[in-house]
Amino acid sequence: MNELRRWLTPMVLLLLVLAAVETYLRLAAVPSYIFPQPSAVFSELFRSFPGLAGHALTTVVETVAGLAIGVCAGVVLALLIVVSRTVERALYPLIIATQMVPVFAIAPLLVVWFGYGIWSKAATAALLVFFPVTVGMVDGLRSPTEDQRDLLRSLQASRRQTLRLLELPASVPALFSGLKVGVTLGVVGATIGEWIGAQRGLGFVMVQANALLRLERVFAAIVLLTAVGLLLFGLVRIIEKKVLARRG
Amino acid sequence: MRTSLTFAGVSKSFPSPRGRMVVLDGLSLEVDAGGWTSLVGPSGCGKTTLAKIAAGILTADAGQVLVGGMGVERSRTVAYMPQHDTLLPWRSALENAILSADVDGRSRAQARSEARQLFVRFGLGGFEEQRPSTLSGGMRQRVALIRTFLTRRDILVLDEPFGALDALTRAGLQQWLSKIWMELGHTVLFITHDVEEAVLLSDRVAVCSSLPGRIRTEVQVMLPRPRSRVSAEVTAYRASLLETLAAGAIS
Ligand SMILES: Nc1ncnc2c1ncn2[C@@H]1O[C@H](COP(=O)(O)OP(=O)(O)OP(=O)(O)O)[C@@H](O)[C@H]1O
Ligand SMILES: [Mg+2]
Repeated sequence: MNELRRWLTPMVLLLLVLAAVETYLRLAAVPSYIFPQPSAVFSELFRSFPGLAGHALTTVVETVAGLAIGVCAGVVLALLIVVSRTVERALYPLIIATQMVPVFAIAPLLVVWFGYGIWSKAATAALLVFFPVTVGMVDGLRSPTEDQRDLLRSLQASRRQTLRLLELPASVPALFSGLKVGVTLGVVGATIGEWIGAQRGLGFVMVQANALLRLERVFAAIVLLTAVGLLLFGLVRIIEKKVLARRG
Repeated sequence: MRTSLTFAGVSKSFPSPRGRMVVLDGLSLEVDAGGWTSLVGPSGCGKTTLAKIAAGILTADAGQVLVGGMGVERSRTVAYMPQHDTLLPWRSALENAILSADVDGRSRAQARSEARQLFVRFGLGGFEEQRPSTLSGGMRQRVALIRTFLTRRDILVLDEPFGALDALTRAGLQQWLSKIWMELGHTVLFITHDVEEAVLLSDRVAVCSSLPGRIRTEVQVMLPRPRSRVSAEVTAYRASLLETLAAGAIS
């Protein structure tokens, strides 16, 4: 019931906005190659759904692959940073630098290096995903209180044991926060990868439809992309709730 | 399993906005092997600091801490119960109690079964699988005490272990701890604000001065156990210790 309510309000708002846009576009007779009517977008979505769903699946696979790589890289980097001050000083500027370079500048290189298949898109996604995961994980690993560290010190726990018994478990909430930001960035990364060079995926659909001035198809792809993002985000939230509830 | 704990001229200072603040100034204290020494003193006189030095968490600037005549570092002979329970929120009460088994690589199954028995004795039966956040302050403190016991070390350094308990639970646990101590013969350094508690439990009470911390007086409590808090002797010891504390507070 509550769940329904939570979804109902944004849905109603969305429908109202769409209705207003539709009315305006019809009254002002805006041509569809400038701005397609919502009804045209949805009819395109339903008409081409099987094909579009296949493209969406490709984007999902790329995103999930990028997410997996990005999260692993993020966790490993965070561990290195936390364990060694030297590594921290050496790595942190480089890690921040990777986020200063626009993805659009790097994505073509990634296509050259990793080919037109899913791996160049996964790499683009991973490049965006690893950053929030690293930063979040570092904070998480550093979150134990001085009292908690003292307790492990009094037991003469080794560095490794402190990591395993204290720092890693303490960083689980931070990992999920990083993951939630990472999911949305992963979808963006995969799509950008597809714009640069691909034969499949929602990004590819957008580029192609754009060139043909079929804007209702571009918007249909955007709608599906949003759905994909929300779906993955929701999935992470469900896992997060389950895990955090079990830890208490 | 009897080991003495000796502080010989221990000094410790911390950096503070107005230069270094001397917290312990050449403090000497002897906790006999198998003996129970309580440390009472005004808040902020460095009791917790001393406990942390004994536990190997802090190192003294000068002086020595000896365990059975040897240096305390890495000796794995001191079990430390921090002033705040410091339970790990992601572990169940029982899992918190067996933390030392994970560090020392002992069998978890055996540690769990030992912990279960202690939970029942501490009136925590049925709460084993609960998270610390769902326990009361007093229950959390008892879990921390069980955790300290299960470290299986000869020397117990307990920093105000009964601070968060109601009078009734407190009296029960005092009796229980006293009994266990007579059975097992741990060496105990017991930190408390409560002079009566110190008299009831210890065979020596040390009073520390306010900053910088030093031992002002040591009193041997030579009374048979179990002791009653309403007995004339206990009351007399209590009164004289309170007087000493009050004198220190004025000067
Ligand atoms: N890590 C630290 N850095 C700076 N000052 C500290 C630190 N730890 C303790 N102190 C200072 O040392 C003094 C003694 O602290 P300590 O915790 O040992 O007192 P205590 O006797 O245990 O007090 P209480 O009875 O209130 O627990 C205090 O003035 C405190 O501010
Ligand atoms: Mg204290």
